[in-house]
Amino acid sequence: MKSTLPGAALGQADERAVLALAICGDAAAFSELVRRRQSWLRNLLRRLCRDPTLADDLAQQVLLQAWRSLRNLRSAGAFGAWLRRLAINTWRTHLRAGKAPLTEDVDADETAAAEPPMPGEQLDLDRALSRLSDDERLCIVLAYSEGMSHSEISDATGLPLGTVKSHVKRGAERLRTLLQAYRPIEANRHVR
Amino acid sequence: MSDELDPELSRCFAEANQPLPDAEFHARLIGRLQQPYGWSALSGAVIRGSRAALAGLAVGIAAPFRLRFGHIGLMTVSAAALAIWATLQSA
Repeated sequence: MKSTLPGAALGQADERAVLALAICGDAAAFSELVRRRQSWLRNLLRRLCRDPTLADDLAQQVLLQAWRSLRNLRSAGAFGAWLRRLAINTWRTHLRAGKAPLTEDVDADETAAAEPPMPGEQLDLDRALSRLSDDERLCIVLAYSEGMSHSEISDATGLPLGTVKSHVKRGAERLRTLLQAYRPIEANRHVR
Repeated sequence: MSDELDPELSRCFAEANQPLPDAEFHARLIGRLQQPYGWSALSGAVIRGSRAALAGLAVGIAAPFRLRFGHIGLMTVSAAALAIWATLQSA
């Protein structure tokens, strides 16, 4: 994969410069962008769909789509937000296609009370997240993992602002309840 | 309601977002990028074109059976008039 810049220079170049090369069709520059962003993108999708293999497949789809439509990017500074929006759309398309159930169909409060964690079971944020509804999970992940404000989440997802606020508040409460079930184990581990 | 976040949950998310090993993921993606996109696009276009042609043929075959009785009469009269006119022209 050839580039107009040598590999070392590409690795140290500012993201805007790398992005400008990638927009002009420089595949090595795009590869460098992937190297810089892949961990963040895969983590975002792992939070959304719990299954790491599926998350990686979706991340690959997002990056392929990004490569094919990079010319549509209006501003180099908006690359991260643009990629995030692609990821959200790809995940939602996957949900609509009904390819795999991503939400465990269990009521959070019932679960916390009726299913105490097994000995040795560890804190699993992704598992707790999978108990939330799809929209709740999306809003919670964008707020807590991406640090987005409610209005930014509303813009990115198309959900009304009031709905976003409600999802973040209710989702956080449910998540706290679910995660509390794991705390005794954490505490025991610290005692040992 | 403000945008304030629960610090405990924020900590959980920060811990979960660890850097992930990229070698295999990166290699797989670069392999897919280097695949000749043109072939898959071309084969997709051929399949879509074939489907459209078959759908058009099916509609063309089925259409006369869906006509109302009055329209069939009109078409018969028009065809007869056309045939007479063509016969007179050739005579």
